[in-house]
Amino acid sequence: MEIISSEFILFVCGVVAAYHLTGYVCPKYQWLSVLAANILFCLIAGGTYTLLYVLLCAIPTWLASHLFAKIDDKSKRARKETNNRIQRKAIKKIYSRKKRSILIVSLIIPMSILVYHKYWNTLLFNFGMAESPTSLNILLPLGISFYTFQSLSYLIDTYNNKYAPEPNFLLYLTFVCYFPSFIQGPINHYDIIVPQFSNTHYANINEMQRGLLRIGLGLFKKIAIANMLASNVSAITSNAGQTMPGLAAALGVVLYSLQMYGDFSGGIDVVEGVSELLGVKMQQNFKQPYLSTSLSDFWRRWHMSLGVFMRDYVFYPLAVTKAFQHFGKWSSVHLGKYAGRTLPACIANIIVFLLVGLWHGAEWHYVAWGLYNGLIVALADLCQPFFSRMNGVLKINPQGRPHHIIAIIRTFIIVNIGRYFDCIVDVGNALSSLANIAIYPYPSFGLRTYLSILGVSDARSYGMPVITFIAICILFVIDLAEEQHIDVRCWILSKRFIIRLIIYMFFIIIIAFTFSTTISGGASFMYANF
Amino acid sequence: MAVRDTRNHSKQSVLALRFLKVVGAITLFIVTDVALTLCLEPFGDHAESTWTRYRMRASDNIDSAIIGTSVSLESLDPWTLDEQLGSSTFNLSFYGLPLSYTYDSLETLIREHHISRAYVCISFDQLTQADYVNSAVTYTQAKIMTEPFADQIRDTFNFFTDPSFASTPSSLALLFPWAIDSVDLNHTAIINNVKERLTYNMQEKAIQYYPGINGVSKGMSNPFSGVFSPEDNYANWPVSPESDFPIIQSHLDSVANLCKLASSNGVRLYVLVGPMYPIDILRLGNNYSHNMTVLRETVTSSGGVFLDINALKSDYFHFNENDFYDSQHLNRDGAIRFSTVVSDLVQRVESSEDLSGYFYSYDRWAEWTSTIDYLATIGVQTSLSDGYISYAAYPYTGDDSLVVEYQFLQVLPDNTQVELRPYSNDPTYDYDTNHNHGCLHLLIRGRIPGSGDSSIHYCTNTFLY
Repeated sequence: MEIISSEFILFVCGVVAAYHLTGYVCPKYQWLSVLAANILFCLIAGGTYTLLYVLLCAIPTWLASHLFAKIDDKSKRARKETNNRIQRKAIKKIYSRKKRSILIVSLIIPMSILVYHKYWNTLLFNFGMAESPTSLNILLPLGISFYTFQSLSYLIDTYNNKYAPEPNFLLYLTFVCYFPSFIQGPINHYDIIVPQFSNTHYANINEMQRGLLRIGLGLFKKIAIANMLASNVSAITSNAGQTMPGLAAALGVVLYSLQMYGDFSGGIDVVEGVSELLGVKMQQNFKQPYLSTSLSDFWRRWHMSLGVFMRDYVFYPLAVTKAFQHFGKWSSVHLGKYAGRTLPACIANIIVFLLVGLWHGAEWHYVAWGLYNGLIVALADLCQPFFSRMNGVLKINPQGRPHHIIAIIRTFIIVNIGRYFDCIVDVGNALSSLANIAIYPYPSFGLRTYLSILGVSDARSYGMPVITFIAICILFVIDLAEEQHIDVRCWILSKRFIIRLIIYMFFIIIIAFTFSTTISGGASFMYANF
Repeated sequence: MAVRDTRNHSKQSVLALRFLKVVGAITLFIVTDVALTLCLEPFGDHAESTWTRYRMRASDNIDSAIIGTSVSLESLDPWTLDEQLGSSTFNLSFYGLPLSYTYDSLETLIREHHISRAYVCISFDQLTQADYVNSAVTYTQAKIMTEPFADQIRDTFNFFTDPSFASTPSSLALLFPWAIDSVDLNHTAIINNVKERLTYNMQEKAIQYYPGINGVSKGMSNPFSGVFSPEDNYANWPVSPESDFPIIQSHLDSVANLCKLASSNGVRLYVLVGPMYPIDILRLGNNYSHNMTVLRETVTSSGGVFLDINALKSDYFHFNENDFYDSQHLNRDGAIRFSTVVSDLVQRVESSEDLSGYFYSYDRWAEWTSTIDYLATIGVQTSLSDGYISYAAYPYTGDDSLVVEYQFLQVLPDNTQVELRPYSNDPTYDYDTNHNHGCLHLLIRGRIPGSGDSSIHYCTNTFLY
């Protein structure tokens, strides 16, 4: 079931109606209608085996969380029974070990399912044991990354006693396979979502309008921007390499960046809008990423829920390991205090970005992309004192508007250099394309002619249809307004009926005009089925 | 109490106003959509004209029908069939129509005209490629324009819940038909379209569609007189007998359902394999015989009659290269020849004659391949390494022993041709780029030695380096 389809529209209409009706009839169990919707969605969109994988992920993590609580109880009771401090410590250690072994076992089950489906075939291929990275025909279960990550976050949080385990398995299952976030995220946290399920939500026209507006904005981004650029991006990036002029490749990468933003944030807007129709607010996933002033700022604004997941469950745990602490101390002694404080975090950052790269796929170009991002973030941290000193020497005001604008442009360029390794599947070709900016920037017979020979439609406007250019400008204005803390949806809803109607019609007509590309090119989201 | 009444009253007013606003917005949306449809959607297109012509014959006797896609539409000529078989045929086929909608056509014909014979041409590609939604939209739209309200509701619902499209964005295409099928987006085309709508009614427009082709009484027939040229069409299209062309199971199920519908209603359904340019069949290698074997088994086991005109032995019938308009469609002359041979075969089938001797066997497909004992055309494969562009030309022929010689020419921006290498038996040529960047337009000619200009074929290639 694709999100842009009559099946999904009918499904959402049915679910929203049933949900709010249950809210009036049986408010205490309103969440059960979401559970029913989740199961139905799993079955329709992914088939029985998807539901099986969800259960395989949910059951062990839920059981483990209760075992953690039991062990903690036992540990407390056992420690109470003795006054000897050493004995108490020993008891705590024994129970901690037990708890850790349960954590490891319950981590292994969902992780091994994820790793098997995502990486096993590629791994065998790299060791010459499979014909190709896809020869074993291992189908990736729908939404596996997202529900696995959600379950793991719950598991680790309950292990760390961040909150008590969920007593009701069905409520937990409702969280794990919450249908709006099932296909492409965001990666929700238990303590944010489940309390909302426990509350009763009555149909609120304002909330519904906001939800519908968000869905509309998402469709606008996906259909009028992402889908319109998809074929041109593919025509350029699939041919990128030694023979492609640097500017052509750079154009392809920039278009890819726009496509990616329209696609991913558009998709998230649609599902967040659907969730808002149910009165449930999911985690924010995008915050005007292309207005970031540094790469680390960018990663705090792009796919935020993955960033938070990686920070909480990879970066912090890594940073507090003994090895990292020793390394920090060693650096302080040998390289100075600042390096001692920063270097371990830099290494942890590189590991985190490497994992993010691998999450995108077990391919070398994703490894390169992860490493690039990790290294740039690490270098920026390490060089921070130098940058501050330079600002002082050159009398640059880092808070000033010109600096802010330059920082945004600089970050956009840095992000796009990384995108070369993301959208060009061969690392060598990505490097050649980058090198060609200096070596062979422009074809003698003109860039437009080059693009047209390559099969790029709209070659005259450099692969950018006019209607898409207008849509991008509108999106830029919306992002600028949001950056200035203007709630655009609130602004639209505060306007007079006629004005609103004109705005709606304008967006609907742009979406409808560009809809044929969605039909011919398919409407799958880039992050669907990760 | 009075205060409470006023509050209730004002609350009701707010709700009523909101309701009115929602209704107003929806109405405006529908009106705009309809207006855009009227302005942008071509008036009296093929689907609308076909359905209108069909409805114009509502009370006439129609005993046979041609259904399916453009392959049926342009291969079978109803006038030729009727002349040969003494039948009354209507051509109710549509461009790119999915098989599930062909089922709908047959069902309509059975319900409304109790037909006894039907023909459907199914091409190789139709079995292996996904359905094309645009045709389903124009088909449904045109059909509901000409039918009673209850049927309109049913057909609209069927479209939105059609399993081929329901889970994809295609299912929403019926909401914005003008977005997928429109006149040119310039004011002249749009004004002309609107003018036509205001000047003619649908029946007048339907009669004008493809004027001069035998009138309108039998639906549509092939109006094209052009002849297909294989040159360039196969230039970079590798011979791919090793590739796999799996049949989509749902398409096969649709074929079975079509045959079952026909046989359960006493209709003899002739499932004909779509005519294919011989090079295309050659290009597919054993995929053709394999897929056609599967199709034949499905058709015969579901009560249909299977006929593959492509596989007819050449002493009975063979396609001329001049019969084709493009690689998958016949031109008008080709359609008449095709319809004549189909009529003959139908007569033989209906007199219970065993036809197996007329066709090449799929089990011994090499016998058919060896009939392409001439140079059909040439293609080329390219690669770049160490600063050299390597070209490897290859012939399209069923005879491996055929000797072909090739000439390589560079086409300059002003279209002048510079010979890079004269005719020789060597099919390869390496172009030295001197590690520079640029664009090379190459023309490659192939011929059978000593046969003169008549056997020359060519292909072109543009290489960016």
